[in-house]
Order: sequence, then C-alpha cells, then structure tokens
Amino acid sequence: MMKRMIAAMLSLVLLLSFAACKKEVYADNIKATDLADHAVTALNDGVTYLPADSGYLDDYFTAPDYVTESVIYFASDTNNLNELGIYKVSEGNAEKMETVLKDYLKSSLEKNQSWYDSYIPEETPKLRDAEVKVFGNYVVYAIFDAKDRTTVFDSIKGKLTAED
Amino acid sequence: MDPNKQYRIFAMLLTVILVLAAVCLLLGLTLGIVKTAYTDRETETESDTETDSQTADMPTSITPQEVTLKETADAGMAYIDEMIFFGESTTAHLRARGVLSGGTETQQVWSDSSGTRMLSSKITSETVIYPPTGEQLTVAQACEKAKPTYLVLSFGQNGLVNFASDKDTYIKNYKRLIDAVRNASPDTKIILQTVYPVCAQGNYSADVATLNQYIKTLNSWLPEIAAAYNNVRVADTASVLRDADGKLASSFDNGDGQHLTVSAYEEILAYLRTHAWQEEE
Repeated sequence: MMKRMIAAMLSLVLLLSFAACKKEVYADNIKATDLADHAVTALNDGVTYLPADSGYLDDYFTAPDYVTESVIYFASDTNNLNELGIYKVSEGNAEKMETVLKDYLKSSLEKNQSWYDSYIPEETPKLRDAEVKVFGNYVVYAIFDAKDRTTVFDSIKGKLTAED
Repeated sequence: MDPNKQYRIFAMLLTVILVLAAVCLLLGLTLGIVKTAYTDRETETESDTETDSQTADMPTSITPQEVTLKETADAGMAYIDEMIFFGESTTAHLRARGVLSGGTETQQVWSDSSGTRMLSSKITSETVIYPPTGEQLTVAQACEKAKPTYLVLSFGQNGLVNFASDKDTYIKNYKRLIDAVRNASPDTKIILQTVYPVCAQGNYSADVATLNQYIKTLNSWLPEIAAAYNNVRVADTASVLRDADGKLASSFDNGDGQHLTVSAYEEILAYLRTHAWQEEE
C-alpha cells in the first residue's frame, strides 16, 4: 500500500514537473512594427512615439545579418527616454541578439549618464533599469519605468503567445 | 594471428593515419592563412572604397586649410537674419537671450522642448519644433520645408569626454547630419561653429583644463569635416569667448561655467557678421 502511494505521488510530481517545463510557444509571423504598435497602444501614456531611422543605433552596433526585421520607437520629447526596440531574428539567434542589445543598453548608460544627469536626472533610472527579453524569435528591449516596462513586455508576450 | 604482429599492424595503421592527418592539417592551415590574408586585403580595400563613397562629395574643390571663414567687412544683421541655428543648449539659448532679430520670439533657432541635443547616431531621427508651424520635424524635414540660406551648427560640448577619444564617431555623426541636410536642401550653406570653451567642470568627468584641451581637439577635426563638402565651412566663433588661458572668459559665463551671457552671444553674432561667407568661397 505504502509503495503504491509513493509511486502515485512520484508519478504526480513527475507529471507536474512536465507541465511546468512546457515550453512557451510564440508566433513567428507577426511584423515587428505591428508588435511595437500594439505595445504603444497598451501603454496609453499620452506620449508621442516616433520611428527611428535605420542608423539610429549606429553608435552602438550594426544590426547583425541574422536580424530579419527591426523597429525602434522613441519618445518624441527628448526629455523622455522612453524607447522600445524589437528585433526579429532567424531561428537560433535570439540569445546572440539579446547579448547585443544588453551591451547597447550598458554602453548607452556609460556614454550618456553624465549628460542625462545634468538635464534629465529623473529619467536616468529608466536606462539603468532597462531590460531585454526574448519571445521566441523576437528580442525586445524596453527603456521605461518599471510599470511601463511590464506593460510593454506583457503586451508583446500576449500578442505572440500561440493559442491552442 | 600472432599478437605481436597484430600490434605492429595496428601501430603502422595508426602512424599512417596520424601522418595523413598532420599533412591535411598543414595544408589546411597554409591555405587558410593565404586565403584569410587575401580576403582581409580585399575586405580592407572594399571597406576603404565604401567609406570614401558614403560620406562626402568626391572630389571637393577646397582643402581643410581653406574652409575656415576669413575676416570680411561687417555683413550686417541682414546676413544673420538668413541663418537658422541648430545645436546644443548653448545654441538654443540664442532665443532666450533675445539677441536675434526676432528677440525671444525668433524663428531662427531650432530646438525641442528640452532645449538641448547631443550629436549621436540618433541626430537624424530626433525632432525639433519647427517654429513657423509648431510641428515636430526631423532637421532634414525642417530643412526641406524652410530651405534655409545658412544652417549654423554647433555640437561637441555634450558628449565631449567621449568624443575626445572617439574621433570617428564625432565625424561620422556630424557627416550623417550634414548629409541629411544636404539631401533635403542642397543649396543650404552649412556653417560649423567651433565648440565653445568652458570654465567649470560641471558634470564632466575631467577638469577644466582637460575639457578645454578636448574642445581644442574637436575643433581641429572640423576643417576635415567641412572639406569633405563643397558647401560647408567652419566659423571659429569660440575664439571670441576664450580668455588668455583658453577658458570661457568669466564675463561670458552665465553662472555654471558652460552657458553664456547675452554679451557672449553678441560677440558670437559679431564674429559671424565679420567673417561672412563670400560667394566665391
């Protein structure tokens, strides 16, 4: 009896662990621009966001060959550091892109902190706490306050999560 | 089979395999080295060519020695009235100081609500408030609308410490901006002001003497930038602001060692009027 109970409990634990390990499935056919628009709509913060031109981050990196699509939106008011970037990459390259973007955020803080601290010190924490997240083949960086960062990532994840 | 014989055969086979492997490795390395060097030379040549063709007129009729605007007769306020000014906070303050014809309502100063700007790769994406309409436009879009006769640029104090050790980025971003302006308004004459001196450290990580040395370095790069184009010149406006030690003269300091008084701007405008762009230049 005891043996059966232990076996049943172990089976249950095994089953639960399989469920927990279930890999999130993300869509792969949504345009980066549509995702960015979706995130900006979700923010609903009254800020005007503008699309960056192709050389916007040339000071930091050149988009690698495995980037198939990208979009960056930044707050039109330069007193506001809000910025969102979405990079779609070919299969297997998300981690590499994640590293590139983390390096960009770190380098941007190093380069600009003294200038930002002079003019917009209340904004510098956004850059300091900026994050990069991976959703399948989409790699997203977000320079926002904590609440808006969560909104951005949750909205993008929601859009990309495959529905059964 | 005799074990010794087996051993000998095995040893022989192993030796053959190892020798073959060593030969293949040697061949591979040799070919690889040669190919890599050739590819590197090819790549280097290609990238040199690419750089040359990306950023400038080819060729220009002016040298770095000739691009600095020389002393002329006073061209008067009418000359200044044809200028649009775009740059850092020290440029934006032209409006606040009321020294242009329109006073504090002037439409000759392009800036955004922050009143400042840094010369970065973002410079062509970021917007200004276009004074005639209040629209937010990139500088290129604004130039396309306004077609200014002269666009006076001033960049280098913001990001100074980084730029001083990264000439390529400073030049590349200045050329990025100039190219965008020229594409939007090919007839606009562009004047690069020398970077103004400072007399206080502020939030910089270097002391005043070092900062002014950095400024001198950046100013030495401006002729190289201007000479890459037929319609870009350098105005050494910073020269009227320095004291005997190369710092911002105290009479021109607005209090923080970096921003300027009304009299400083009057001197700057006087310099521009008396170093006017001559048509034959």
